[in-house]
Amino acid sequence: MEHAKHIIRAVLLLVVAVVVFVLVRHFLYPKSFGLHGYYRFDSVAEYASAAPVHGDRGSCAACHEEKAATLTRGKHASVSCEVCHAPLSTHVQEEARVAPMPVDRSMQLCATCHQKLVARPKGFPQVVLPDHAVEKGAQITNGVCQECHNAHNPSE
Amino acid sequence: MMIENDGFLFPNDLHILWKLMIVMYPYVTGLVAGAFILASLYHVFHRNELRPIGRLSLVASLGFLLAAPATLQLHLGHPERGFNIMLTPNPSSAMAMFGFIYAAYLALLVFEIWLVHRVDIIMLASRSRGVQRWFYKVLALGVYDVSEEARHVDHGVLVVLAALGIPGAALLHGYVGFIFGAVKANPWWSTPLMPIIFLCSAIVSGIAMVVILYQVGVKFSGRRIDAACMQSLARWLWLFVIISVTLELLEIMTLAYEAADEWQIIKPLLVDQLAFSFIGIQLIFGALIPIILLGIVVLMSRYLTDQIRNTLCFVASLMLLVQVFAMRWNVVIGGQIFSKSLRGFRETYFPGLFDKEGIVLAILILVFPLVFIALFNRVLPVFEPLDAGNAESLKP
Ligand code: HEC
Ligand code: HEC
Ligand code: HEC
Ligand code: HEC
Repeated sequence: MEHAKHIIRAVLLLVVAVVVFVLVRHFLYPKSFGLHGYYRFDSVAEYASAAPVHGDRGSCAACHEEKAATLTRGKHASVSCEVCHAPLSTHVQEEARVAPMPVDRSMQLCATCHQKLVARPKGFPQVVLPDHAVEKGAQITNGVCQECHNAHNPSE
Repeated sequence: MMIENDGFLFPNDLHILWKLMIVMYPYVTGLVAGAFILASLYHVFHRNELRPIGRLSLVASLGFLLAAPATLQLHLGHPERGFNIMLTPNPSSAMAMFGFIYAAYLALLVFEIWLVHRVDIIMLASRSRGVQRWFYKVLALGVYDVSEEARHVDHGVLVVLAALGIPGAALLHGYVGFIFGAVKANPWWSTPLMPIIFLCSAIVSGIAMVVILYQVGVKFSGRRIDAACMQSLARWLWLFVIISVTLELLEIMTLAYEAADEWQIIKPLLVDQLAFSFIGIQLIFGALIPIILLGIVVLMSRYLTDQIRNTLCFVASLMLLVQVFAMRWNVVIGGQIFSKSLRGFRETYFPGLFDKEGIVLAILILVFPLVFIALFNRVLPVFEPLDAGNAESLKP
């Protein structure tokens, strides 16, 4: 053992490292973790008390009645306003407009749902972009889709 | 934006979620395991002709080990949560074990490297002055015992560590293969052979990397390449490429001969979708040619000059490094470009240059270990011990 002093020191160092890890883990371990399953139970209450970010169709309709009515009449009736625009809370706080709502007129917005893909259901309206617009005789510009389709009621 | 594809896909088949960094992950851990196992041939099995690369391969292993977590961190959407895998590991997750296997292996490797360099550390402590001396003193843990008995103890511990390290390295990498092999929904991954295939190709890449590091390192430090060592490396490399490629083909031959449902999709996957990276790179450029080159070195050694042997080994090693990368690519990406319906493909994936999982960062991850080795070499010699024999005279 007399000549194994360095080994003993190295092993002690390792033990120290393990102890440090156990201590760090002890302090960082989330408090309510594993109480009711493999998650931090406190997060349930945290999420429940968070302020909502999104609204719904009705919350936009309160101020944009006409737009909402147009939307409900057409084929986009099932599409939420916030999918194409942005969450309510970025635009309205305490019932007043606080910031402009983004308006995306690009073809990419429509492509997220209408680009032709094998993985989409057969019956869903799909077109090959940008070929579709070119075939119909339009110039590809920002907002090209709006020349012929009303985003709020595409068949109009 | 435009995603073209053919056949039938489910909506969730459209995206490749395990991207370049998940190709890099088994590649880098493979280099770790391979270099370590090579080092063990010298440290445990006393293949003395491998002495010139005994230290280099250990240090290379450490360099790549330190780089490995970067691949996973870059893959994560929330890298800052990466450490949670150590805090709240879910025992039913294969991935959760990574943190612990990694940490244990790191400790073992550092311990082993320290022991191998211990006498040098003490010598350097005795030679240097000031801060430097203080630094080496700390590295030596304040013990300057270089007596015959102490060295004997070192040697004993070293053999035990290296022997523990072999299953450690096999575990570290075999389990990476297991993560793929255990995905039962994916017929291209799900096979119990996967860990072994991964391990064998890991050894191939590890040895190939050491061949290159050794040749380049020797050039830089103005030494000569040891012919016996290079010949031995070529022999081991040849053996492991043959085993590795045989296993890879065995897996595919079984699939082809069984011709079960999944072969309908795996066949076009291999001959159409992955024709370049599988047939071109993994089988021909990366395997067949190096096997021939190394075969020449192994079988016709007598007729070769050192120059030719070194060049053949160098070229074959570079090709093998590409082969193993292609193999990882074909597994990881190949497994994601066909639909779980087994009836269609999405278009192949190509990484972006500056993406989070892009080419530039992947290259940086591979460069890091090289820089690490160079820096390490400034602190402690990677090639030969400072003094082979009489350490007795050195008391700091
Ligand atoms: C399919 C995507 C889509 C949906 C769903 C949608 N919008 Fe729009 N919205 C657009 C686009 C595109 C424009 C720009 C139209 C244009 O410039 O011709 C726009 C324009 C507007 C404008 C006018 C902006 C201006 O400067 O004239 C308002 C207001 C508006 N939307 C509100 C709504 C409300 C409220 C809803 C839900 C009831 C809604 N939108 C749902 C895509 C959509
Ligand atoms: C508290 C009332 C209120 C609510 C609720 C509201 N808006 Fe607005 N919105 C306004 C006002 C005011 C304007 C600016 C005047 C205008 O153009 O009519 C506006 C303008 C817009 C514009 C044009 C761009 C801009 O900011 O000037 C869009 C698009 C829009 N709203 C979309 C929406 C959507 C989508 C919702 C639901 C998520 C919504 N709004 C909910 C009051 C409201
Ligand atoms: C969030 C998804 C979504 C986005 C974005 C979207 N749409 Fe639609 N679109 C739909 C849905 C859902 C339908 C209804 C499909 C059905 O009836 O089965 C539809 C239907 C249509 C139709 C077919 C109408 C008909 O008479 O059959 C057209 C045209 C259309 N959208 C154009 C557009 C244009 C132009 C844009 C871009 C401004 C756009 N859509 C953006 C989801 C979307
Ligand atoms: C020059 C006019 C024009 C332009 C520009 C145009 N469309 Fe159309 N689109 C039509 C007409 C007309 C139809 C009616 C069905 C048809 O003829 O295919 C249609 C049909 C559609 C349909 C339904 C296809 C189906 O199978 O039911 C979608 C989706 C659509 N368009 C999306 C777009 C998008 C997205 C853009 C923007 C790139 C766009 N369109 C631009 C004229 C146009």
